[in-house]
Amino acid sequence: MIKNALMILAVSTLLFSCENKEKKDVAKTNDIVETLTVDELLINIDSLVDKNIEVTGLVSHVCKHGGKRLVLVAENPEKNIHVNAGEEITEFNKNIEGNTIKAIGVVKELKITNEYLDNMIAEMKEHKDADGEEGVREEDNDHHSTEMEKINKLREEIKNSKNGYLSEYSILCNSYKTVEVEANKTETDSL
Amino acid sequence: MKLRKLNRIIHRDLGYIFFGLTIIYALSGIALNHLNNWNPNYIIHSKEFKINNKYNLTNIDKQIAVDITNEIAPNEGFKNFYYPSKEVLKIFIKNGNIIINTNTRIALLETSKRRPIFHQFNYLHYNPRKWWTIISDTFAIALMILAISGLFIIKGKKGITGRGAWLTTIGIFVPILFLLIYYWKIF
Repeated sequence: MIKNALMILAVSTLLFSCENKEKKDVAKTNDIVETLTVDELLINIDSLVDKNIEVTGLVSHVCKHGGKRLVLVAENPEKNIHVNAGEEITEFNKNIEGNTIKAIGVVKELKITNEYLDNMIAEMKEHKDADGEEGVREEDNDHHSTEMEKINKLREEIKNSKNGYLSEYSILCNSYKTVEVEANKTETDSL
Repeated sequence: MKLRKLNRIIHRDLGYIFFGLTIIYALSGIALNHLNNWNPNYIIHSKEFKINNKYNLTNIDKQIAVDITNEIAPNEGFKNFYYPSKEVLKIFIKNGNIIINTNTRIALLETSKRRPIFHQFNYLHYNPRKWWTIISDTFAIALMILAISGLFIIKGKKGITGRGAWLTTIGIFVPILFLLIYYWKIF
């Protein structure tokens, strides 16, 4: 009796989830505005904010902690874009490091203003206070001063910027897949 | 049925049903509390090597990358490589990567593999899917019912009117004390 009930529950859950996934995937691919490489994306990224795109690039890093972030590099590897896992992705598989992937997602813009940096400093101070004097290690102090240097540099850049803020772009990824090995070889050879 | 008996039944059965989830959330909770001290999701090994002088590292091809991989990490398959900057070469291998400083020729081999049990438990703790949100919300509500019903399991001196009252007060006072010290900064 219990076995039958569990079987019915498992089958219905499976059917329901498959049906749901299919509908979502169709919606995702229909909405894509452009299919781009990382290089192409970075050229026009300001015009693609909040738009759904498909981008192809080499995964140079996947976050070791939660697997919620990865970095896609361009042909010029000094240029890259951060990709964050959207609601549909629990974590990026660490094994995709070194693979070329196609990521579908929405371009997001973070506006870095002086107010944003003030909040950042306040948060850092809060963390430091919460740790207390005894909780602060030498490397924490080093990290703090490096962060402060970066913030001061950003303030300088904001001061010299046209809009009064800096834009940091990323992709909120809904789905991704590894590109065929052949394409991967081409990508590698071209680097 | 008496109210106290119903309370015991609810407490007992919820305890049985949510035993697994309690262990999952408790273990992964401890793991995630100590993110600064360890990586609860992956076991990471690092080792330094010096690259053989026979390789010209400034502009390698795939074959050289494969040869370097075979020398440093013979059990890991070669995947790919690129130059993040002029001085750095990164070779991707099956379970990690090799980062080489092309000037000093020092290579850092880093391999990682999923930490058994913790990776799976943390996956659930990070609230992976909408359906899991429903399950974990149900668990959270059940925990509240378990806590409240737990207060009324027994009567008498050791119940909520005696010893239980003292212990419950201590349990409530501890988080309040922390809030007073760190949040409201009263002291």
